[in-house]
Amino acid sequence: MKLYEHQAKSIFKRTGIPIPNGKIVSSLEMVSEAYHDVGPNIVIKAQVLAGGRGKAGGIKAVDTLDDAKEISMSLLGSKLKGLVVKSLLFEERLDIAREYYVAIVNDRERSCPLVMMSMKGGMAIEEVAKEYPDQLAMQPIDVLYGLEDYQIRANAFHLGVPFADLNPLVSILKRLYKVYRRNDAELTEINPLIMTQQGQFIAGDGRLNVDDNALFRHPDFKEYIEIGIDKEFKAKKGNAFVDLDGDIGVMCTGAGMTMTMMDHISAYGGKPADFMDVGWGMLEGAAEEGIKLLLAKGVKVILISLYSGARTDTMAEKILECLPRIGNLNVPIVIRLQGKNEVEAQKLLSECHLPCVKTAETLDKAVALAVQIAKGEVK
Amino acid sequence: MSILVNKKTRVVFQGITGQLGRYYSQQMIDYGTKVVAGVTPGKAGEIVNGVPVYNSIKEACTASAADCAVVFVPAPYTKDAFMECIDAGIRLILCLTEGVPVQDMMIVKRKLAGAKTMLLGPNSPGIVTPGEFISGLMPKEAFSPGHIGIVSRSGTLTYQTADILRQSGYGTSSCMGIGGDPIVGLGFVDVLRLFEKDKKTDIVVLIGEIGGQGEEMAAEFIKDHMKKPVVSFIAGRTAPEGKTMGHAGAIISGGKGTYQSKEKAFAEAGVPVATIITDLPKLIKKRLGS
Repeated sequence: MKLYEHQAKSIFKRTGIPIPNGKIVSSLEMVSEAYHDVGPNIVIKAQVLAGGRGKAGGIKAVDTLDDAKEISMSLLGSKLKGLVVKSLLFEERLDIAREYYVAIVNDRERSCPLVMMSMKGGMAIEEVAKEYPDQLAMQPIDVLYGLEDYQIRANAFHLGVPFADLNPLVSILKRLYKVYRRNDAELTEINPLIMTQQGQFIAGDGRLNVDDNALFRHPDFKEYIEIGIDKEFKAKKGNAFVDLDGDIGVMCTGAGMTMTMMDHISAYGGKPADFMDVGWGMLEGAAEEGIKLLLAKGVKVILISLYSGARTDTMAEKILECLPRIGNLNVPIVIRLQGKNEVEAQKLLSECHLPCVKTAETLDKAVALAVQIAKGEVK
Repeated sequence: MSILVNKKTRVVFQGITGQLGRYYSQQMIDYGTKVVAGVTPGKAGEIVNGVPVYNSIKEACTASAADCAVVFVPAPYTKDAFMECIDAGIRLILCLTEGVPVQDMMIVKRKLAGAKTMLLGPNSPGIVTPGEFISGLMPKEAFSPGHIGIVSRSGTLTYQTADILRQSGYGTSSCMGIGGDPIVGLGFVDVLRLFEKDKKTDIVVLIGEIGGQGEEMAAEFIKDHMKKPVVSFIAGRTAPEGKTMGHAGAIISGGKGTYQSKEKAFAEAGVPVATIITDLPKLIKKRLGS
């Protein structure tokens, strides 16, 4: 789960990392008050969960109330990098002396946190890594003991950080590591971390991505979860959904199996309409929600194809039970259920006498049939 | 021979009194796997599926000489279950639970580094040695004994692959899923090392998927340390970049962990990669024939 900049910054502030004076604006009525609180020289930042906001026109410097109103009107409700701008952050403009990049991220290969630092603040870190690899310093962190001062100093000496910045930088990074550990972050990043002309470090931006699997430890984050199409599906017992632009609706269990179906469909000349990993929900009626979602998308055929260690006869029962309830079922459903109790599952499917249900015994046959139906070669 | 588990392996089942625990432990017993003890705190003295239940792993091990733990407890309690198993000196932990927090796994990995315990998972379907041992979720229908080793990141593809091979007349020595989470216990390289030494395994099928560096590291190991042939399939050839496909194993970003990088690494290690999963028997035939 990704937090918005202003949410991440409020957590930074609580952990002792300075942030600029700022106000959140979610409607035009709030502009005047926010401007007077923060202004006169401010930055207006669109709150969307995407990088590269500046280049996309989502960050504007403003010096008058009229300009603040005009910019707010154009940004609020507009789309930035495909995402709707629902709120703006009005922030005081800082006098910048230097900009740093600092982050704590999961290092999956080494199974530990990683501290990353650069003096090329403000750039996307992928570009820094590509164009100035020696300007990026990192150290793996022993999760049992935490981030040590010397590791931060080692990075700083490698980068040539001015001596005056050294101790304040150590203090910021130790706090950022606290943010990472306390919030079960996958990544937390300040880019840029601004050293002002007045000699103070202030977080110019803030990113905090929280491990979804650890949300049980953070009930206060629940209010941050936004309901989108994929989240809605997750909430209804399914596992994961990604919208794609083909015409064959895919429903499966397991991410690996679902991707394999997509690959198979493509190899046979078809185009998958989605990635849908229903997981254990297949045993609890998630198929119904999945089929409805695919029908609403307007697919030409639905392919339910899986090999499972869970009871496939129960899955067949759940699918067959829900089909009569679905009103606008106007496309064929190709079903292949293999694995535990597959003989019983196939018996149920072959005896169901529903015209929309087409059964296939193997992966190859199921995909071939779905592709033929999508192309109009078979009904 | 086989790797990690066989008919002598003695299992303690953690979480045996839950509904799924009862079902899957019975599946294992029916297959002939030696489930010798169960653990659920506070339920010592109960008998589930003919197996005595204890309050702790340590008690269970003392009473039953179990060397392998199947961990089937909810994700928030999994770290604690691992710690208990490691401290009790369990040889092998099989963990089927999905959704274990990544930072919990970082701590577990530090604990494992100084211990003799091996961990398969979490989010693993477990392991099968056909005719001898089956754990948890594996559907027995998919497996027949033979000489092909299977190691997969994805659970469902582990049995799908075994079934495709079986249909073509190939049996398996041992099959396992290492788990799709970002941080797991045994990795591809650890399992390949075991297969290389196993007398019953002639060829290894490695099922990878996009995201992470596990396949690239496996390719390095195969190139430098393996005499046995390896063939592969990588799921996610057609997945669009920048989208998360389900679990954390399947994220591609910044050119790393892509299908192309994995295919290239395997090509350099002499490992043929099947474009579609049902082409695997052809590749095996070719590699064994030459």
